[in-house]
Amino acid sequence: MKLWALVVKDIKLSAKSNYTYIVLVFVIVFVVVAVFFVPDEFTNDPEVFVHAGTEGLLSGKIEKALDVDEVVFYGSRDEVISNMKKDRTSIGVDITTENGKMVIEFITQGYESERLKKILEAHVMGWAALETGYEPNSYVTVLESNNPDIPANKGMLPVFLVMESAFMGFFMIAAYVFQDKEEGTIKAYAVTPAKIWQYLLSKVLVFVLFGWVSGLLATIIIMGPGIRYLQFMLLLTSASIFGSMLGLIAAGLFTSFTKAMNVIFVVAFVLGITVIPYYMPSFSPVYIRILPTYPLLFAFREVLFPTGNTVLVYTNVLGYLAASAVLFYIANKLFEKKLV
Amino acid sequence: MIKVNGLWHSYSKDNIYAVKNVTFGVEKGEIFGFLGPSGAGKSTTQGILTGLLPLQKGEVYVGGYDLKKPCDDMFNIIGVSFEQPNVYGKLTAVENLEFFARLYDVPVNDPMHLLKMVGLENDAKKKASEFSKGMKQRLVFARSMLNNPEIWFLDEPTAGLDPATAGRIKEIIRDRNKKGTTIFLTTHNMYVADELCDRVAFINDGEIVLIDSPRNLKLKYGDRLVEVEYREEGELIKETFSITDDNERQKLTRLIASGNIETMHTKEATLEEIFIKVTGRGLK
Repeated sequence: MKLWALVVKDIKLSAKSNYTYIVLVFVIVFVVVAVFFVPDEFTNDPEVFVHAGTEGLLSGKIEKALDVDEVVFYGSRDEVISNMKKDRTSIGVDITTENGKMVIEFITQGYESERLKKILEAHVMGWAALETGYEPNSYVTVLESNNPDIPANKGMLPVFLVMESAFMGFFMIAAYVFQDKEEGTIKAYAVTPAKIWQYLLSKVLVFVLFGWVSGLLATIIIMGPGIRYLQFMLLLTSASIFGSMLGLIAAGLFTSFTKAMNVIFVVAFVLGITVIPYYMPSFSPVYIRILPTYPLLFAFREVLFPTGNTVLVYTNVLGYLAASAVLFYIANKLFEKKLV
Repeated sequence: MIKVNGLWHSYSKDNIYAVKNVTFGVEKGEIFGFLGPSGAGKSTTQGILTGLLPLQKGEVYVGGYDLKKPCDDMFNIIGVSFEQPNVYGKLTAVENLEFFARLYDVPVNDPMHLLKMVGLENDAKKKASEFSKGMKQRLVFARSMLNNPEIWFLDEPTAGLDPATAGRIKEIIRDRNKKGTTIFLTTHNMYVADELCDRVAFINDGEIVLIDSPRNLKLKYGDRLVEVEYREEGELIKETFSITDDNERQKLTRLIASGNIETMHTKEATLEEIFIKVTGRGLK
């Protein structure tokens, strides 16, 4: 009953502040950006302009060998060069035959990376080896053959769910408790027979609710009905609880938002840094992998784009719930020691 | 109802004490005034009695509850009216009271009835942030009556109120006291204390320097003087007579007999004058 009264009061206060609307606007902006502005796939591949002496026979094979978005064939080397001057992101290839041997010339703009040049060279040389009857001695082995091809715009969703929906409570709960401290309403609460854990839990529940609203809205619109919503809700709830608990600890350690601000921003930065290995898996040092948001990002990705690794999801759910229980105990002790 | 014995408190947890060896008791049905200037230790003592500050050293019993073993049940029998207008600004007056009413385990007063008592019935559905400081103060005062407290802690209950509203608040205090509520009144306003309190304690630099009824204090520390304004040959004369001095008493008797007196007042000492006499500093 008391907990319910607290939850209702906190929802009323949130509804009467701008916070609810900020959450909704943020969700809408994210969804609009993801759906209308971010393409399915980002590509840095340049256009390749090709002059091939035997265009008719080879063009299909060359196109396949280059494995880039766009290959444009021209009738002469000069034509390739003049078009490259018009499109400074393009690369040229001139294929001719001399004394029965294939001669391949790569024409570059001059500022391409060595990596790109090597990749292009490897592609064309591999094709050339096949054409001239030599088997290429390199193979590609795919480790995770069932990895889904995640569209770039949908791939942003786990980041949104972690940073906005799950960890919203971290920033906001601290702000709400500090407001209670500043207004002195926490003192008025402290002289009633209600418990401290009820005060803390009501705030957590409210931010879990907000997490649900923002997370579900964005996910339903972007992903539609075809994902495992039970797993999704379990993960979102446990992570929201954990984020809110971190906020309670911050609010319990400091007396005002100004004093806590530095710590809150540092923690937010540290938690946010895990987005880097999410997009660049080659950079995932141990000190980032041990951060709580790291497994969470991949757990959300698993729920949204399943590869069959449900253990990852449930491990995260249980881990976050266990950690939340410990943090709630600590927060309770901190507030019992000094509520006002 | 309240028993405090050898209470000490240090915010820095060292030898700098905000409250030093404070001892007093408050009987059931009594209005007990706690008077002192800012920083004297009033708020610290009240903070400990209301459970807002931890009990570090000494014995404190409130309504029979030992504050060494804090118990939530105690909050069902106490009410606290803060000096700070600590209400939820985004909630209306009635929403504020309805929320706090749900936190008690005992029957509570109807929020609208309480708002009417303090003259806020027409502003019940107005957001508290739109209230003046005095209105917020009345809302805090009304909130402290929600659970019909047996022990009522009032911190400057008339501060910032106009005389009419202050009079209404004092009337409510007297009325509840008549019904048996024990009141612990913290103030630096000597007139409020003088008007309402059965006994007052003077606290200065964390120590209680005096405890007695206002009347006894005045008798003990005041000069028994009478101030008279009278006309003599058309001229208005103002004179003060001691009623303990034989000559001056006879002169006063002659003046009364002459019928020339226009105004006459006894000049007992105010609580503030007594405080200054005892501590060497004012109450402000």
